[in-house]
Amino acid sequence: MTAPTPLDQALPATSGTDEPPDLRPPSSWKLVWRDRRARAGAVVILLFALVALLAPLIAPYHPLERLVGPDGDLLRLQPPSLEHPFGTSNYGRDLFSQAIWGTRRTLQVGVIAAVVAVVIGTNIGLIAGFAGGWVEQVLMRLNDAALALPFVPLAIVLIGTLGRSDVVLIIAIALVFWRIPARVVRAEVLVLKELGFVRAATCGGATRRRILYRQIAPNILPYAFLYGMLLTAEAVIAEATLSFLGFAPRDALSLGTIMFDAFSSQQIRQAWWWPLFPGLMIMAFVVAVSLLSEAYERLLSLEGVDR
Amino acid sequence: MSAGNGTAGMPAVSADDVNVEFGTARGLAALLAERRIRVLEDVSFAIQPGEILGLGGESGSGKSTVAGVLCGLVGVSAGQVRVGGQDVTHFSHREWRGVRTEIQLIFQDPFESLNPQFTVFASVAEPLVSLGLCAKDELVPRVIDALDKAELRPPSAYLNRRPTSLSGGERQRVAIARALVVNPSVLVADEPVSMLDPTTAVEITSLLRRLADDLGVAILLISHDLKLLGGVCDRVGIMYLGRLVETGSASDVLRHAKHPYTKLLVSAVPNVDPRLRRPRVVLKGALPSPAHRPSGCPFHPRCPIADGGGCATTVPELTGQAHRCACHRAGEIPDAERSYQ
Repeated sequence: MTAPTPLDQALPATSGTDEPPDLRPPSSWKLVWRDRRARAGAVVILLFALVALLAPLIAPYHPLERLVGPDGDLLRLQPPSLEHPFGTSNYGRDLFSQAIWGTRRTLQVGVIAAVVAVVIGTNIGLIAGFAGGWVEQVLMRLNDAALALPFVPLAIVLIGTLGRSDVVLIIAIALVFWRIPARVVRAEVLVLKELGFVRAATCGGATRRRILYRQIAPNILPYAFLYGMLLTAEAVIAEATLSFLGFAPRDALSLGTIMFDAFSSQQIRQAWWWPLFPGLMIMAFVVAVSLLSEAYERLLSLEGVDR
Repeated sequence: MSAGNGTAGMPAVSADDVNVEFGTARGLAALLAERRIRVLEDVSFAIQPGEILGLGGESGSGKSTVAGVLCGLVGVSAGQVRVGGQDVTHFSHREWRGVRTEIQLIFQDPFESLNPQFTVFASVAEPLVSLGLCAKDELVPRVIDALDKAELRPPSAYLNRRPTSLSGGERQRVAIARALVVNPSVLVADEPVSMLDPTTAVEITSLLRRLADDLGVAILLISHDLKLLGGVCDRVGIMYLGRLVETGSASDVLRHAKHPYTKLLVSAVPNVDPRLRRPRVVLKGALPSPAHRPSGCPFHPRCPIADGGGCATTVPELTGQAHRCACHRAGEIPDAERSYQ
């Protein structure tokens, strides 16, 4: 906490004196919203979400439609224009429409995989940190094993044996990415379980499961949420990587498969626009997520000081 | 403040020759080398309903361990703990749940004893819900009743507040309300006011006194502040290195201390009157680590009246009737009291 950021400056104002005593301090989302960079990130993410949700309404063409020009020729490899902002492919398909539909699938896979990974990781971290003893040893050695897993080879093996499908893709991503939230959550639980309110809950007759999920878990939730955001970005990249390498289901259309098509058509030298725009979209999404999550992280660390 | 020593009837809570040992080595090292330190040694006391027993002593003397033992948070290696006549010494987490309504703990730090994510209502209602003590629609009246007993008024104004918007004293009252909501017969208060400012501290301790007098709750009040103990307790015990060295009525122990350690503690209590300057008797050295427990009387290396003989070899037992003291030489040197005053 060296240079004051908008977020830091916003905090003292929350303990204003003219507030009625019953008023709760501003929610963490309000505080994050005051950070300009976080706001930009949130807007971009919202935009992506809207595009994904409304893809059928926004897309000007069917993504696989082969477009024909007024002279009857196929519109092959047209550079970006007003009519086709992202250009066209060598089959005369509108790349803008493809990118919109691709966003939908990329986000779907990314978000679901991230949620699965965070739910698994958070629960394993909670149980390992709270139980201690051999349970913790077993779970954390499992975690070490996951840390040693190289993602792309694992995904290739899984897809090779289980077949190409979104489910396998999600399993591959979750199997690798649960490792980091599990570590972080366990470390956090080790701190929390020594605090007075946990002992107080013991004295209040709570079962161990109730202590873990009612007392400790709510204090972990912000961190799980933070990792959910970060892992969504990672999962989007992972999905794009695997799609680019050609491991997406055959008829799937995602930002990664567009780049795969560009690469496998061998037109990539002439048609620079083909892989460029989906690549830029992935980058924009990842940057937006990291802007938002960074502000959220800063807020969490400040709250940690308060506690 | 007369209730106490002689009264017959079953004590609300009692400890008999309780010993607590902690292992210092973990994992493989524990198998190779048996290194255990004794944190509590032969601690015995009983508290009657409506009585407040104070426990004093330096940091590290084992006061908080006593609190943990009574509430089943610390394992007992020898001795017996009884709550409401029931032997709870070796109860499991599950078995303890049946006794939780009898005994409740109030913590030292009100800033970490309340879950920051919980409203006051959720915090106070939690024991009722965990133990399944009452129906959902009874929760609000029971919580309001407990908040009222803890003198948070008006109670309904506190229900939806969170710990971050409460002062230290208010938080401690919420913690007291959470302890009272199950109508316990014993309260263990582990340094309940050491984090609070003096006026709030007095309010909290007089609240504890009223709980003992009006509701007949037996209270173990742990504090390093002898003045505070003298103000509210019926009886006081002084601990040194995991042993009780002196017990008796509050006035006996604090005004007519027998044990040299108690005398030194009393003389270290600060006085606000600048004209009253006592010759300062400084307690030499620090409390030794329980890992290197001195032989004989644990206090003898720091004791001003220790002789070279018995003090260094045999552990003194608590002797006496109502006012008990564990010292070889307390009786021998009647004028020792002079030199401290």
